[in-house]
Amino acid sequence: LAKCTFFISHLTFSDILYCDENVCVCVQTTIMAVEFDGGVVMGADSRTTTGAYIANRVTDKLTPIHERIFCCRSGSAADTQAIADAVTYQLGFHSIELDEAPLVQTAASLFRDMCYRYREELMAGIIVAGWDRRRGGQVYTVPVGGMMTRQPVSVGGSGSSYIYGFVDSNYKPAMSKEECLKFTAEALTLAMERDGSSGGVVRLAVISEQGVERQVILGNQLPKFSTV
Amino acid sequence: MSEELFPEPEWLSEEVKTGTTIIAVTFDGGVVLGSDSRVSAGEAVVNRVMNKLSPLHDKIYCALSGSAADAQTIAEIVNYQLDVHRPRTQYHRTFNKDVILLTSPDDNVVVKQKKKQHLHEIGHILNAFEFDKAWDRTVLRKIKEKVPHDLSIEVEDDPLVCSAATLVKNISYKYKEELSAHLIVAGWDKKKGGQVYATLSGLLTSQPFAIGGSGSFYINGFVDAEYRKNMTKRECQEFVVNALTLAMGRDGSSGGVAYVVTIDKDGAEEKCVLGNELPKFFDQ
Repeated sequence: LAKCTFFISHLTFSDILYCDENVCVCVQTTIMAVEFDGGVVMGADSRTTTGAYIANRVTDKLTPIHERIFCCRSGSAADTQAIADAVTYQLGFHSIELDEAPLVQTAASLFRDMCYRYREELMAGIIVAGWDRRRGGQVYTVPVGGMMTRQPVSVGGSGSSYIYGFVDSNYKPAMSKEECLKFTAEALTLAMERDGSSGGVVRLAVISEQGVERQVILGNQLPKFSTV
Repeated sequence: MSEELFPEPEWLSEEVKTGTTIIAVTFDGGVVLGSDSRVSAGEAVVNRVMNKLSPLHDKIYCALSGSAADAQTIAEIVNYQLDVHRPRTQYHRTFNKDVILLTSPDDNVVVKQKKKQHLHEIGHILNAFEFDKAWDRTVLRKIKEKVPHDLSIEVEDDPLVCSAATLVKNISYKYKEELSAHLIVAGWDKKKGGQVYATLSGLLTSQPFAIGGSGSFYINGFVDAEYRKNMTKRECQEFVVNALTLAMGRDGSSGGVAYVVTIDKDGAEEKCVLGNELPKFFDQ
């Protein structure tokens, strides 16, 4: 990593997928999830880069794990896809055994078990969010290393560094669904504006008792700020 | 044996860096600068109350970040270079008549009494020639035009912020490979009012506001969202303190107290906001 002289120092280890003297491949992103009373709002940008080339400008980083449980993926695309597939399988099996919808905490625990056990080989930062009957909307974050913690709002990915200040100052407990959507869209816009490896459109998903509503905010419809 | 049990702490050999947060914002009529107060060497905090806003002139300050030694040296050099803008206060007691040193006796200008006093106070020596009446400005202008360079000449007006920033930029650019410091220069002058200049690695750019230092990454989103043009002085000070608090909350190498300097046409006002007076935000 000391050879990556052209990267700014605050990039976290998890953003760098592969590195040698000639090429450095990063899978960088900005992901976010917020709880509100009755569900969660999840958001992500839509850019996947390999080096300086944008491999996919309309990626969908919000992956369904179960009917009302989604995850946002950051870090190595291959690792997170593999983990997500494995957890989806395990959770589906578990849900059939119980004959009822699984808890969000169960999904998060499955992610955590896998991320912790194989933490030396994996590079995966995951935010698990969803709705269940017992505890309503919940957001769990499983960063690189395999810790798991529940948080009312969680940001992740390389672009998240730029919006910690904004999220800390603008988050209020007990926001409504519309306020959460606006908050997430604004935060992702600000991160996409400053982080070279986040961009494209903003994909949002609202998960509640009624199900999942997905939205896309295109580039020209993003919120505008006076300096941006 | 003792070295193995108690190896020398790494902060003894680590370079002292001001991993920091600095911010400067213009408002209608001046600028507000802010900084945290933590200086770290590796993992140790070597100074928790350092004021990183150093004056370059009466109404021009700069905010330091990066390597502490480099930044302080640049600030001191530019402070010295701008001292030419200060009037001297030497009195010449041996002359009982004011004298003006002019390059040739053909120059026939006269100075009003008040100005003669001032020129005497600031160290000009006046020759007793026959003078015609003229405006004071003409005298000064002729002096500035004609006096040879080895005579040190004081410039009456305060320096422009742009000049101070250019001096900083020249040093940063010339020694770009050796230095690692980023200074933000901000101040007020008569010509353009409050201005903020960023001089990262030798570029010079004037901006409505600028942030710098390791803690600034975390507040990029916040300042983009919250900055408004034409804020009042109060709003600007609150904006700076909020931004510093958020950055200090997230960045391990920023912390301590917040120093805030407000510069407008009346001068510079320094303030220190202690830790328990900083605003509180929701902390998840």
